Amino acid sequence: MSKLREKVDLVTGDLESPPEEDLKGYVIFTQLKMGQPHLYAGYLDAADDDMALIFAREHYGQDQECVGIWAVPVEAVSGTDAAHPASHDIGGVEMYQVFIQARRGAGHVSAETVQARSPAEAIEDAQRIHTDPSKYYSLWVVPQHLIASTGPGDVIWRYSDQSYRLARGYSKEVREKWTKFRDEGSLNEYEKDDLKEAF
Amino acid sequence: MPDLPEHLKKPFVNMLLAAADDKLFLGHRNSEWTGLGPILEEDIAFSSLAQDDMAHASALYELAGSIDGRTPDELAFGRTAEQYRCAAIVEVPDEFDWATAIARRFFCNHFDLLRLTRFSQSAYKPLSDLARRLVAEQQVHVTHVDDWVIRLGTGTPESHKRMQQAMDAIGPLAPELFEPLDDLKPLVDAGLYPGSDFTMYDEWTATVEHVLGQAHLTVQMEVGSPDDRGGRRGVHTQYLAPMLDEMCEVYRLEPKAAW
Repeated sequence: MSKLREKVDLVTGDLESPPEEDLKGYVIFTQLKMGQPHLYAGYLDAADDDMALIFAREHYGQDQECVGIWAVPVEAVSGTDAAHPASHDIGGVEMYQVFIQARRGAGHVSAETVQARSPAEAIEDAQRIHTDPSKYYSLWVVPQHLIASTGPGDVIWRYSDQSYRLARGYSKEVREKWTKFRDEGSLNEYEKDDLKEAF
Repeated sequence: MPDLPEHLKKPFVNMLLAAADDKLFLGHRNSEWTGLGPILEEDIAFSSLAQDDMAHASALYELAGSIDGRTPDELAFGRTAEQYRCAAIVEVPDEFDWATAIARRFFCNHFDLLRLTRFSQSAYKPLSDLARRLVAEQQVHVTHVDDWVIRLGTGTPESHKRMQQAMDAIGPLAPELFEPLDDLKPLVDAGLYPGSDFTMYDEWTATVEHVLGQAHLTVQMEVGSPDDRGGRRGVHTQYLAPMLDEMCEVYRLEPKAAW
């Protein structure tokens, strides 16, 4: 821990300028390989679409190798679940992206798109495609124009070796070091010293 | 491994060290923010980008070491302060002022993008191969920092004021990034570091001023005299030595250990 940090005055209590309406919630989806669907990754708070994508790139985009990110304002999500009620207000025809949740607790996964005049209509359309209710737990629909997306050439997962960011990379590194240490025959020496110190 | 003419090895390694040292200390300074970022998601993003800087430094140290035989750890932690080649802008503390941290990253990130682009055109293939992927990653850093500069510069009167104060404080240090390294000319002539510092400086100021224009911010920058010796030639601020002491605390306990 940096010694400089010991001198930081941490502000407690209320902020001088209230944060209301500064940030809004976003749902983040990540695409792990080109051509594959986008998978629900999690939520984050950001001021706007650009900031949401920047944050998502460094957060959910670094959990595993990842080629694409979608950021969707939470309020743009309508669904069959109680948390995302769907409006019946009829507007112009637009394209909706459908997301399917296979079972309770699973993340939503992007599926087809449907054209509809309202979120409720889009859900009905999607339900006509997914007729077997035993095959899914819930459906989400999002107007396609409200999905902020990274571009095809955007770097998310880095080219440099970043395996240390992953649990498996970390354990691999520790194992390698341990094996090297053991093979060097230093273990006996180490134990000898250790015992000498202990007794 | 392609051959590097014997007489160019030292200046070439020196040039790689300048780039790696900038990244190392920028990454370290930014890692000091972990847990203190202005909002949770930015805290994660800023730490992630600081890790990236460390990864870039490590890759450049490895390349330098493949030429002069030292390990990345020896290069990163095993030198005395005057053997480092970083610029003053990465040494100074930001006092945990967010605008200052962003202003510092802003000048450094744009500089690094151009420097890495020149590396990616180097006649020394191990460097050009490495730099091509670092350039792509550096673009992520530039996108992130430009967004913050414009956002704060055009946000509220308070955010504008604080961002402008940070530009006033950090801006004058920025041109020192261009302090000429010793024996750079033969590297340029040999195509190992193609392009010219003058062109790069013009390009850098144009980009920086363009973004600052969008952010409604201004900056005062003056190029120093080539006789002013600074970080690129081992003359450092008072802040480098204590930072090194802290960074090297563990390494110095057992320099040969593989951590």
